[in-house]
This record gives sequence, C-alpha cells and structure tokens, in this order.
Amino acid sequence: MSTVLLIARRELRAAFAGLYGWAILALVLMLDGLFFNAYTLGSQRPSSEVLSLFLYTNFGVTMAAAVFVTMRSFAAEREQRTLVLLLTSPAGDWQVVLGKYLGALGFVLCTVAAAAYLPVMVWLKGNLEWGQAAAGYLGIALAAAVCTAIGIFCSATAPNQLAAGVAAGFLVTLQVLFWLLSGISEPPLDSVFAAMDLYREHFEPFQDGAVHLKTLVYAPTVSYLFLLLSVRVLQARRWR
Amino acid sequence: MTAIVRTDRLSKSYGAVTALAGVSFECAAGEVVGVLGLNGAGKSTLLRILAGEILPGGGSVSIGGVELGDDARAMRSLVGYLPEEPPLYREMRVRDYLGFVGALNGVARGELPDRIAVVAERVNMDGHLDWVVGELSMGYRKRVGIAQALLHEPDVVLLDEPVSSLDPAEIVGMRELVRSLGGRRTVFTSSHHLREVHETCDSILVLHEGELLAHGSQEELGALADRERIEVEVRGRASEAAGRLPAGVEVVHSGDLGGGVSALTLDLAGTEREDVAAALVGAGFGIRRLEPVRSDLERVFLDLVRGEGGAAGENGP
Repeated sequence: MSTVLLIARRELRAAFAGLYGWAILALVLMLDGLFFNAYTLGSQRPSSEVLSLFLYTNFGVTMAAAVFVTMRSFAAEREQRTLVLLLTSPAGDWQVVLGKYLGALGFVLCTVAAAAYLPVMVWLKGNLEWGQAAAGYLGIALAAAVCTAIGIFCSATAPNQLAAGVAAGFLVTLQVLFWLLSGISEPPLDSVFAAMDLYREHFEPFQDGAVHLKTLVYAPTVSYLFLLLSVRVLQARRWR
Repeated sequence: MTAIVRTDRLSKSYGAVTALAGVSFECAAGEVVGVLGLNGAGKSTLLRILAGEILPGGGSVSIGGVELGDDARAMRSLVGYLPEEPPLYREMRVRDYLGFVGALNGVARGELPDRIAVVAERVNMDGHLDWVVGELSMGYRKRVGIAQALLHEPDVVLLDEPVSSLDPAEIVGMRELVRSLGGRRTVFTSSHHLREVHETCDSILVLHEGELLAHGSQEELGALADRERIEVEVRGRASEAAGRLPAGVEVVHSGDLGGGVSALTLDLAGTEREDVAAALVGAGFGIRRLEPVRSDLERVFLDLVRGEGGAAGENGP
C-alpha cells in the first residue's frame, strides 16, 4: 500500500507543481461561481433548491475536471518517456494504476473542496440542510471516482493526451446519456441502460439528499472494472 | 563462473520486425558487458527485457537466479536501468526525484538521505541536489539517470547508450564512471561506438539484426578474425616487396619510411608468417621487423556484421 500512496502523492504534487493543475482549478472555480451566480443569486428559491442546483452544476464540472486531469496520467508519462521508471520498478502494475488513480482522484476532490465555499454561503445566508449537503457531496465523490477511473483507462490506452481526453470525454458523456438509450430501448435492455445511467439513476437522488445503496455498489464496481482494464492494458503493452 | 544474468533463446518481435532472435548468453557477477551493434541491432530491446519493461516473445531470462516468468517484480528489484533518454520528472528537484525513485525501489525512508548523498557524490553532482531537473544540462540529466539506477544498490545495472548526447568531457567522465561500477555490480552498457565499448568493457555481446553474433572478452573476439594481420619492415622498396609475397597475402597498407626502408601491413588469409618471411628473404629483402598486429575490435566487428568473420553461431560463453 505504501507504494500506491507514494505514486499517488507524486501525482498529486505534480498536478499542483505545474500551470496545468492550477488552470483546471481556476476553471472549475470560475464555472462553479458563474453557474451559482446565474441559477441562484437574486432568486427567491429555498435553500434546499439552491443547494440542489449547485450540486447539479458541480457534478457536471467535476466530471469535466476528471477528464482533463486524467488525460495526462499515463499518456503524458508515455510521451515524456518517464513511464519506464514505474514499469521497471518492483511496483506491480495494479499498484501503478491504483497510485495514479488515487492521485488523480485526490486532485479532482481538491477541486470539489475548493468550490465548497458556495454551499457555505448558503449556510451563512440561508437554511442549509446538512444531510442533503452530505448526501450530495457523497454523490459527487462517487461520480468523480467513476469518471476518474474511466479517464485513467483512456489515458492508459490512448496513444497521446488528446486522444485520451477525447475518448474519456466520450465515455463519460455516454455515462450520463444512458437514460436516452433506455428511453428508446425495449425491455429488458431499457432497464439495463437505466441502471447504468450515472446522473438520473445514481446522482439525482443524492442531489436531493437521498443516499441509495445501489449507487454505493455501482460506483465502486464500475471504477474497479475500468481500473482492472487499465491494469490489463499495461500488462498487454509489456507484450508488444 | 557464477552467472548472474542468463538468457536462453530469447526472442522478441515488433509485428513483422524481429528485434531479437534466439539470443542466449551468460554473464558473470561484476563484469562490465558491452552490448555492441549497429542501429536496430536489438540492443535496446535486450536491455528493456532485462530491465523487465517488456516481456520476451520466447525464451527465458533470469537475473540473480530469479526467472522473469516466475517473479518479474523480484527480478526488477535486482536491476537498475537507465534508458537512452533518462526518465526524469522535470518539475521535481533532484533530491526529491531521487527520494521518490529510492522509495519506489524499496529503500527505507531512514536510509534515503545517506543513499542519495552517496550516489550523488558517486556521479559527481552532490552540488546539484537542490536543482530542478528541468534546468539541468543533458550531461547532468544523464548523471541523475545513473544515480536513480544505482540508488537501491542493484546487482545489475543496465545503461542504454549512456554517452549519447554528451560532450567530450562528459563522455570521459561517463566512461570512468561506468568502469568504476564494475567489480561490485554487473554492468551492461549498450553502444554503437566501438571506442566506448573497447575502453570500458570486460566482455562484449555483438548483436546484429536481432542475432547474437559473438560473446566474449576482447581478446576472444580478436581471435574470431579469420585472417591474421602482420606488419613487416624491410630493406627495399615497398612496391617491389609486395610483388614478392606468397599468393593469397593481401597488402592492406604499404609505404616507404625513408633510408631505404619500407613498411607493409599484410592480411595473411591462411598463409603462415614463416612463409612470408621466407619469400621476402628469398627475394633479397632484409627483414628489420615482423610482428602480428593485434586484431582491433573495429575490424572484428565489421567482419562479424558483414558475415565475413565466419563467427555467426559463436553464441554464448
């Protein structure tokens, strides 16, 4: 586990060491602030609705942040020829993948935490429901875990950062569009697609303060699946 | 000989391109081994397999008795590897980078500062530990690359083209460093520069188009040359002496030295030195000197890769 944390810590520090990480953080704060301003300030909505709207926009922004953070992960190391350092160390492939995943997820959650001043404003000026806020942030953390795992897989697979970003963007978008597919599909596929939808099925209840057990199973399962695929990609590359 | 590195019919292909084809050899602990070959010979592929970065398509590798197929991670822990382009995180300070690599390779946290100080002194960059890697010259980056390969005190050190991109002064320093690593560690250093290999290595692996053409000490490789080369100094004109040589003897170089003395460099191709001497003396040329030329590495190497040396199949010790 210490190797995993070692790699994760380096990833996190590397994200904050360059302009790229700070640019993502600034963009997240700007978008969260703009959406908050557009949807809530000046309106006469109740606090729970304001918080729900904030969680909705923060969910979208966090998904995008996960794509931008993870597209560099393996692809940039491959381009800069530093991945060999990890691949020739005694660390196992799963340790490398998990370390990079936790580092990227840590950064994504930092961006979520940085925007938490907005719900604090709701608490200061309104009547914040702590249960709803806790459930909402749990939902965002679970969605971030899924999107980061998808991004790590795409970065491990793609030949360069741009391709990794495009592929991750596509797959993450697909995750929130499964409900469209479920609407035009026949049973039993419709319920399968519905169950896979990240927003409607798995985040929306959290947004309103309800914690669903199925999501607590879904998010780790999907994350594990994509991390497992990432490990397999690394192993396959050793055979090339 | 206690073999620390052993390969058996090692092969690797990239699509239709064969990078290694049935390479088998053994190397003793403490040897400095030069991996010599033209571009595309398979040198880097061999080192990448020994480093555990990629897996062979066939055959087996063991380092320190650990088979790659049995426990790749244990095998990787015995190896320090410097690829041709040092794998450096440009945003990190040298000390932090070495600390990260050391910890990654299992060096205990408490030992790291001492280890870093020792390897930094060894590669002569103890005054640059607080520099940011991205600000270092290529020579210093190579040194950091070697430092990271040595930090966990591996049994085997793999250096892929360690002198590429270095200036002449840095090349001399690198050469001394590589030599100094031998004895306690087995060092593989790849190069297509014959001089580097000649001056730093105890033994040489000659690769060509994925095949191991020869493996042995420089003296053993010299013996692979199919023609003995001699130098002769005679009284008389070089052109006349050349005309009196036995059939089959090839004049590589000739010239008049002044004072009625000439020098000839001859490839004997099966003819005995005594026959040459007898022919020249019989023709009235006084012989002032006749001695064999030590077969140089360049000639042997070129003979091998052109298939003229007849040494293909001399695989293994």
